[in-house]
Amino acid sequence: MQINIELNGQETTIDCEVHETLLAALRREGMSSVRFGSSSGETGASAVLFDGLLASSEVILAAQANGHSVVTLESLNTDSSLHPVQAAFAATGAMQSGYSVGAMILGTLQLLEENPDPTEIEIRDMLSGILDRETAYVKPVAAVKQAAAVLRGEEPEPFRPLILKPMTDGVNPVEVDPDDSPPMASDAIPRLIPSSEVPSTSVVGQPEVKVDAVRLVKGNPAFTADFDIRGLLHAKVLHSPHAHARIISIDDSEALSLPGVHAVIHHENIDRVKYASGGQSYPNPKPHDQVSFDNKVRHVGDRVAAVAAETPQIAKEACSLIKVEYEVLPAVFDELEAGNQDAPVIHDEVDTVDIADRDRNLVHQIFAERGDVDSALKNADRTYEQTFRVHQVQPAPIEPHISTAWLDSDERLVVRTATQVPFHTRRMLAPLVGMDIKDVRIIKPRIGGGFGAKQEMLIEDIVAHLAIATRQPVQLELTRAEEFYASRTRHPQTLTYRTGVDSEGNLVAQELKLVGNTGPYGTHGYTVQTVAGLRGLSSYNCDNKRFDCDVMYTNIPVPGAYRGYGAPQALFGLEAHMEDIAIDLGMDPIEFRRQNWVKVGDEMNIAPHLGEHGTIEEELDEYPKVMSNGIEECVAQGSRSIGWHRRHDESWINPIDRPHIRRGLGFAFCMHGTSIPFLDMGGCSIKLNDDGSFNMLVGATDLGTGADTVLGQIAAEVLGVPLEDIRVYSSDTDVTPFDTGAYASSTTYISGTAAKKAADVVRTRLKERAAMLLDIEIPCSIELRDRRAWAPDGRSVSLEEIALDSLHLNEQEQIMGTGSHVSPDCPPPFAAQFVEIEVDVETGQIEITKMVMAVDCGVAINPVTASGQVEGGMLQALGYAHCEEIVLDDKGEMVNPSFGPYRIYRADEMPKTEVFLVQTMEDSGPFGAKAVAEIPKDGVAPAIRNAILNATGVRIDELPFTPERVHRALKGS
Amino acid sequence: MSKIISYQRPENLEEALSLLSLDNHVPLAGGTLLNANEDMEPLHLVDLQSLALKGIDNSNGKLKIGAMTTLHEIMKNSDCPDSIRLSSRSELPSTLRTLATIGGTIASCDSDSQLIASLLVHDAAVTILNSDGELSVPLQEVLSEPERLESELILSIDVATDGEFILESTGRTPTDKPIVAVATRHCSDGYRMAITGVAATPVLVDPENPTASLQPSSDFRGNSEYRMHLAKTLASRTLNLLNGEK
Repeated sequence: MQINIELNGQETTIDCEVHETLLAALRREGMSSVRFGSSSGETGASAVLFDGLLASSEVILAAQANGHSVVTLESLNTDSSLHPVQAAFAATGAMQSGYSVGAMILGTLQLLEENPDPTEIEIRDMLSGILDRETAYVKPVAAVKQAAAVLRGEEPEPFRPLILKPMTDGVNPVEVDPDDSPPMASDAIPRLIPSSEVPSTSVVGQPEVKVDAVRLVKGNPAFTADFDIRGLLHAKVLHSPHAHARIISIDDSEALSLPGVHAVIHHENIDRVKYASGGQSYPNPKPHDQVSFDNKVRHVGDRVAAVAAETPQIAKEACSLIKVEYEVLPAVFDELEAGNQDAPVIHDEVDTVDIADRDRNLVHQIFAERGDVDSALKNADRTYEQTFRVHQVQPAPIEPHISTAWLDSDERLVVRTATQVPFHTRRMLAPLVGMDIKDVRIIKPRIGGGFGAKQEMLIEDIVAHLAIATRQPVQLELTRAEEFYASRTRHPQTLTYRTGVDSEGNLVAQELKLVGNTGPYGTHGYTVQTVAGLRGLSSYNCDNKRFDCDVMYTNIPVPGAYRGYGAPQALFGLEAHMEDIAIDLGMDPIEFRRQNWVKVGDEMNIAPHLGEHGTIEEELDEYPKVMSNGIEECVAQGSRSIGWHRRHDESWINPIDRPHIRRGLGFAFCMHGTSIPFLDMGGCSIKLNDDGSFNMLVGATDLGTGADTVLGQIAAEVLGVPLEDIRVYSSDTDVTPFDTGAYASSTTYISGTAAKKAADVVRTRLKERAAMLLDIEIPCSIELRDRRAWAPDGRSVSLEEIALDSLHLNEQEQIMGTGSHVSPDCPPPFAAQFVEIEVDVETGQIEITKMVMAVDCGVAINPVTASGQVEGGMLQALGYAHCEEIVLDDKGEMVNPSFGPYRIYRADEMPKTEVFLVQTMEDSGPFGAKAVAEIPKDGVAPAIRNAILNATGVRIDELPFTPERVHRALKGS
Repeated sequence: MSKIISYQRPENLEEALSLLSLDNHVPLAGGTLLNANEDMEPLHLVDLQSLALKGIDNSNGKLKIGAMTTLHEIMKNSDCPDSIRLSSRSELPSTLRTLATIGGTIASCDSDSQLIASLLVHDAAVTILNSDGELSVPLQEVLSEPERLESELILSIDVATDGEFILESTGRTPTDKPIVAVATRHCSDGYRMAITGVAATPVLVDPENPTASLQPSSDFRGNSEYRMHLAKTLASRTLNLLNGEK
């Protein structure tokens, strides 16, 4: 059928199918800013102005739009300049991945047309239909306010950090004066507490606009789905309806005979090559317990077959025509039941080796001990034991997994894919398709969020197999439901802490027994649990520590990497446990922690024994030490902001005008890591162009975190140029240097140091060439700044002149440098997490009214992107603690695989959120930087739990804090 | 949406009613539910957007809302009581309430709908067109016989606008669909009370004994016993608030 719409002011006729959505029709018309998030319209990524009003185009039929007006973000892109709303979103750092920014900008246009001076409530209501897992909506709200001010003709304040005076000397605690109010500023503005130890810089430390901002705020093609390719076929996957079953037979004849179907693949026609899908360093941790298609399924949603067809609808229909006969087997879902004698054996195939005890579904046993825990516990003045249970959640990036594969003109396999780990994917994919690594190319465009779910070779093998089978390009985009049950999730765990304390309140022994649930496949099962052990036993000094862990196979949807990677689970238990011990000892909870937490110079005494390459004590010359720690300043700033003094004020806890409400404050001490020592490696190359600008190639993977910007700032600082002179490209395995990928809070620290090293090489050569031009004998006396090379006597030559001379005139050469970095260190960032809550003691409903995180991440290379990381991390952590959960029925099928039933926070319900960046100088990091990406995931859950305790006296040691669970606890049942 | 067989947009009520009398023909209002359903049976869609069923009229002491009026339009209309406007806003987020209609909301009769609960306590009556002509039916009757809407058309909804109103709810997060919500209105002839999350649709209950006939189902957000507790607690709370008590 044909429809006629007014598209961005132009009468437009579009051919479409009767079942087609407006989203599909618009994308075919080249409107790349309109993006898929879910078929229910809940994400809002597809929103357009429909007759002038913001509306999700994925729930509008194209036929319904006939005769209507449709406006997309492309309507603003009449020239190279930015509309004031686009400019405001860029200036305030309001987008990270930018996947849904088109909808936000259109909503802003509509709102400001109706009301040029909207309230924050009205702004948040406008944003309520656009889900964002990245910004916590803090900076988008600021962007709307700034855009409104500009359009009213006002001059907005520059969007810069608020510089605060330190409250401490950096080492000793202070007592916060209850009458001392923190300076007022927009929540979106990071509060920066500088350190005198940090040298002055020009580009580093500045709130530079993201290098990809223009591309994103214009909605230009940027993501995997945005790139057209001729002859594209669409893939769909047939998933298992059973949690555990053997495939007796599979008949694909009817599917193959459906017109438009090009290939059907399954275990009978794809080679059986063992692998492990986790995106981790070579060699991937064992066991290698997966194949592309197996004759057994191990969870509801497991792969059975895949189809390539001319449309997604045909592929879906073909899947329904594949006849599969199953022998349904018993299933087990709970990690504590998986080892029982009557539990089914999930991996009974003979070709999976290196399972610790396959008959008990025990994948790994992990053990590490320092000192003598048993003896120390026996001799402790007091001992405590406490068990915690944490649940399964999904990272829920708004861009689902999507990959496109094709054979290029040299018959090499090319995969454009939303991945955090392009180089790992290339290495893992090659053997699955029977090709050499040199014949596989992975291109990573922009990614619409990953958070760990895309640290996996998840669907690339499916599109690769189908592209090879059909010799046509093939694309697979997961639906939202598939993203929930057939992607990756956070590991459920049962954690038991045992702690011994002496009469002075010092820890003398601490043990963490952990049972981890890795679902039906190992993937990240080993490493997530070791990180849980590492993080769960590193925060506090104690000579005797033990980690004792069993990792179990079950039949739940597959857990994998998720931002935080074991730490959120472990720190929930640890910080709740420490709170309760402090109360039992009659000590102030922060003071008890302070007495025991690691300080500068303290050893991290179990860290080297836990990890992919864990070492034994005899192999170590010395243990790593904490070299920078700003926690005292973090606690002071956070305490003042949250009003910590109110926690014992009965009149505040029990508001007289709301008798069913109890208020509470909670705290958690957070310590994370920065990269994986001796393992994470990043590379960078930089070359000089004719005009004195530079091309910078990095293998690092910007997930929306601002990594490209931060790496560019580091290079710009070294080379004495503004950030705009650095053109950053990442990443393409044919073109860019190797990088392990975006995980483990490593990019700024590892890839940033690689960028600094590459820039240092270029800087050295620039100085040598400048010395030739200026006739100076000592090149090292030359300084680079303001795009020029300056001699000590004040003469200078521009980088453009150096470039033209070196490329065209004298002793011609390409000035370029490469650098790579791997670190022996893992400097921990620290943070103080505070929350304020209200508990409805009659219903169990809790409301989080304020979150404050003060973070020591060393030097924030870009305080705006760094604070955005903290805000987004806290949003995800809030969901983990409060409302998000994957719920399975007794057959193992997920009952809530859509947004809404799976609840994630919206803009119009977020608590007030403040971020403090406490500078310290970490000498091992580039310009003093440590990590910031994952630590905001660690403290929200325990802080809320401790706030509930403060408010009501009730302890809840299981997540999430749903109204029914809280009510049950309040009732004592 | 792969199973849509045909799409038609009738220009008048007679044509629409005629189409809806055919097998597997269903009305398409805003589309936020129907178009999002990936697992529906093959259907013929009858789009109601050209039927002049949009608009809000406040005269004769009653508010009449056209069936194709969107929740966004209700939220923005100052003639509507605050309770109906706020319930329209909390029903769906910004990108969906511009599409969803009040008629579609009634036809889908979601158990958790705060808007339907609000309409119930505002004595909502639904004007329906069938082959015999127009008739006005109390909303609670429509909710108890949802199958009648397969071949009949909702034309408009009449609601009373007087009285005081309180809505109390418990959800996982502040704007989540409530596990249970209680809407109570106090008007000249007494109290009306409706509860969500305790039956297949929101239900009118006796304010003096609100949980007497309830047998809520359990789900992962709350079991039957907990829902009963919430219904009692929130009902009592709304009455206290309307009576000026805390």
